[in-house]
Amino acid sequence: MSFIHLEQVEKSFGKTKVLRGINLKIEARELVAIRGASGSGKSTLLYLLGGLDQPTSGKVTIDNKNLTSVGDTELARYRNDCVGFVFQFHFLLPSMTCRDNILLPARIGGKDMVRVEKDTKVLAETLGVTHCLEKFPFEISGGEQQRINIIRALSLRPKILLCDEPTGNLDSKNTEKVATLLKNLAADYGATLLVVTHDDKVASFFPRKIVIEDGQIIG
Amino acid sequence: MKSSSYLSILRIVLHGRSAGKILLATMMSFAFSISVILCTFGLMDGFDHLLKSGLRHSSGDILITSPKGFFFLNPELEENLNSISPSAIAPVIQTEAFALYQGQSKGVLVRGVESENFGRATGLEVSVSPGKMVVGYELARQLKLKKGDNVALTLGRGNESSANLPTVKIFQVGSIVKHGIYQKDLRFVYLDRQDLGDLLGVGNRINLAIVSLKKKQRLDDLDAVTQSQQVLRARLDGDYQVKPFWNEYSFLIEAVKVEKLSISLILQLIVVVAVFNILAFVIYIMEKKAQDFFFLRAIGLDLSSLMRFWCVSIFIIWFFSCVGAHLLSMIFNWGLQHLPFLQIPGEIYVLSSLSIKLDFKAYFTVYSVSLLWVMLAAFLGYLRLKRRPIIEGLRQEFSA
Repeated sequence: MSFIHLEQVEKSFGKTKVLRGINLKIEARELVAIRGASGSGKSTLLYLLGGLDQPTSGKVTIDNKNLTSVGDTELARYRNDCVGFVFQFHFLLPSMTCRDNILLPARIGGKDMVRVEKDTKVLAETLGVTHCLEKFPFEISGGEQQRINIIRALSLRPKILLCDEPTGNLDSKNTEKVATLLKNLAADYGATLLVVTHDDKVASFFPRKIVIEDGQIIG
Repeated sequence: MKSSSYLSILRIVLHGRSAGKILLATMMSFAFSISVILCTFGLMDGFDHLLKSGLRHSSGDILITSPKGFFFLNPELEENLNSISPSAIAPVIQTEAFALYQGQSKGVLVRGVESENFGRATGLEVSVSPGKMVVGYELARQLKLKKGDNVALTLGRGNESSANLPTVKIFQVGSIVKHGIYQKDLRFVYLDRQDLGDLLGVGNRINLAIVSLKKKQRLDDLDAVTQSQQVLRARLDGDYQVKPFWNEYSFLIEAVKVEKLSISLILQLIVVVAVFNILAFVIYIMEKKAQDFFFLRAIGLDLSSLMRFWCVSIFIIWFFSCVGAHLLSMIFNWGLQHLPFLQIPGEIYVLSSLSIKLDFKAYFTVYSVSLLWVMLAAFLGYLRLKRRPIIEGLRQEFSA
């Protein structure tokens, strides 16, 4: 069985069908771009894969775990252990320094802090944001904030890195930088990467592209 | 949930100018509401306790009188009284009189007692000696009496030279006594029993016997007194009247009991209002920090941990509110005893002073009921968060 396996997945919000009969297989360590217009259902698909929501019908299996049959606690553990999220909005908490923001998922999951802090240091050096670690998010630039966001997503060495329009707020120069960075980091960490984007240029950075239209995979 | 993750979430919740202030105001209003109930309970229990201990202080446990008036404390009566194994029996003569001092007069109840016996039976130290009198604290205050002053007592019995005039005899104030009950402090005068017996011409007869039981019962559990009263009633067979020490104020004690229940129910309204404040705080935090909460859930915080966070937080709010309430009730208690405008008028409330008395049961009742209320508020807040799926919450918050 593939690492990610979706069978006849449907998702509705009220009477609106957002996803219709999605069948999808993605292998471990694949680097995938999910492309589609606004409202096509690509983000909803990403959230189902991240265990942030449950499908209305169908089956979502990731690493042999059926996400549709587990309870809230196990789903939360799955999100903490296996998934790293990079949102369009960096979502760094203003009450904490960048270091504490990065360590937050580890604290919530009760993880080995020594290892996570070591990884954080290495990643911060790699991404050139060591000087930002003791600063608060409002004290650093938008590009730096996004890099801190990426470090947080990778801090627990996730099996899947899910990115929802990660370059949506960036200019073309930084878009290219971030897309390359995500691709390289996912490869280095052995993570399966799924990037949701409406931008063809961003999608072109990844070897596999999935196109969604009106809740259906069309390519 | 580990303490580090609890502290991280708490830091998120309390971040911002208003959250901390609102939390403080919420805790203060809750503490104030709890303290209002604690003080009311404490005042009522204090009233009940002081009234009973004051009564016991002047009346022992059981009072024996006779419908015929005076009687002898003869061996037969003593044998009957000994059937309840008393620790002391005090023979007393009591009669009404007027106390006259520097043109002022007061109606008083004169008691002829034997110091030692009376002290053992009631616990009240009254050192009477021939020619001297002991007066109640309020009487001394109102007549401006002090030790060594001479006070004339006019007794109802006919004057030796003219039967139509009362007997007037001057006594020196030997000491001043405090019963704790306003009316007794105002009206009671103690003389040597022999002196009063001679004045009234009753010899060794008495009209009151005060009996005290060996094992002092707690003032709120008076079963032993009631049981002994029943034993004596059966043995004395209508020749004597047997009354418990609280008899003269039993209506007041009963009224306090009923009032305590009804007022505590009414005061729940105050707690409910304070709980609404807490609920408002919870909703405020849920709204203001919704984005943060949904994000925390997205990175792995499960609902049960979130519930635990709320429970612990609400418990901490409750705990500090209870500490605050305890401090406020202590301040009120201090005020009751030291600030003139908070002191009760004794002529209305029977007691000369009042203090708060709170036992474990009162604290437990008030604190546990308030805890139930706040936990309900926490649960409502949790339901509010649980109702919205993470994705919906994240999207709404992002688009806001």
